[in-house]
Amino acid sequence: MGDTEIKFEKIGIEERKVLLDILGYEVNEDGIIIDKNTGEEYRDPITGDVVFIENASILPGSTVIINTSELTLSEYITKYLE
Amino acid sequence: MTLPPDPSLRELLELIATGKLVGDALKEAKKKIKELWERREYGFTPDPELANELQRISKSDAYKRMKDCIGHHHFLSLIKLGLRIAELSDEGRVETIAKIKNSVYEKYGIRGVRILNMGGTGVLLEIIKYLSQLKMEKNYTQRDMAEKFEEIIDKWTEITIFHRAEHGQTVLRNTIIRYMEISRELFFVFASGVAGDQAKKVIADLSNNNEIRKRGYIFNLYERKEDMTGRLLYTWIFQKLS
Repeated sequence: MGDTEIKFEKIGIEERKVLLDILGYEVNEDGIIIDKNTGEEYRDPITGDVVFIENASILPGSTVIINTSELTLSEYITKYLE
Repeated sequence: MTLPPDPSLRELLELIATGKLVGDALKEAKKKIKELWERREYGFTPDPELANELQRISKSDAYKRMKDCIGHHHFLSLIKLGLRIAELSDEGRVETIAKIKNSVYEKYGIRGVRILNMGGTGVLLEIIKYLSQLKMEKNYTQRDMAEKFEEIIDKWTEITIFHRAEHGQTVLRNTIIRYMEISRELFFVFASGVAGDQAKKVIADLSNNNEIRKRGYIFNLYERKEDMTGRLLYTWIFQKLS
């Protein structure tokens, strides 16, 4: 993506659920993101952990979702946006 | 309800979330969201300030120089965090720094933490300048530079002298001479405040007395404002001439 500037914004949980639904995910009663195709818990591609909706970053133009922390965001930006 | 003209991604998500759209309008909104999403202009995160800050660091001169030096190395994301920690240190954000260090330690171990510490002490910027200059002077490849950087991380405790005023000038002088006599290819001296003044005097004396050049070494001095108090952090980088 080179030096493309992505604008990161915060949206509410319900809006996040709408976007996730369109991208092929749902959220179970524990707040964990589930892959609708497989019915399995979605795993953060960087940490391998399950992702909770409250802490989910939904990343630009993709179906990549990560648990939000300084490290995971830094790794994501380095890997996918540079 | 019909869709407003040229709705933003956020507006569309809000409209659907509040249940105001049904039937064709809902279908149309979902289609529009997909289109807008695929433009890759937006990301959503609980911490947009952090994400935008990390993007800003990605575009900083220091980060770009380091990336130019070592290429797409797996430590680049840590360099970004190291540069962020340099700023967090200036702001006194101790808890945030500790959290970052814990998560980095869990994944990358002590090597990762060393990169963060280089950021926290301000040394990382000087190392980037040093590596960048070295790459230009010697025409090294990115792979060569990545190896140099990894070597610095691995040997960090052996190749650094953090001088403090209570150590005194004689101890510093003897340590620098010892490092040259055991032929360290590269080593760093760090000092600030009164210790910085001491170190400047010791190194100037060694230089004036030809003690450095006669042992086959050269050195460069870098200085930067260390923190909000405005103290200067001095970094001397000693290199053995090949």
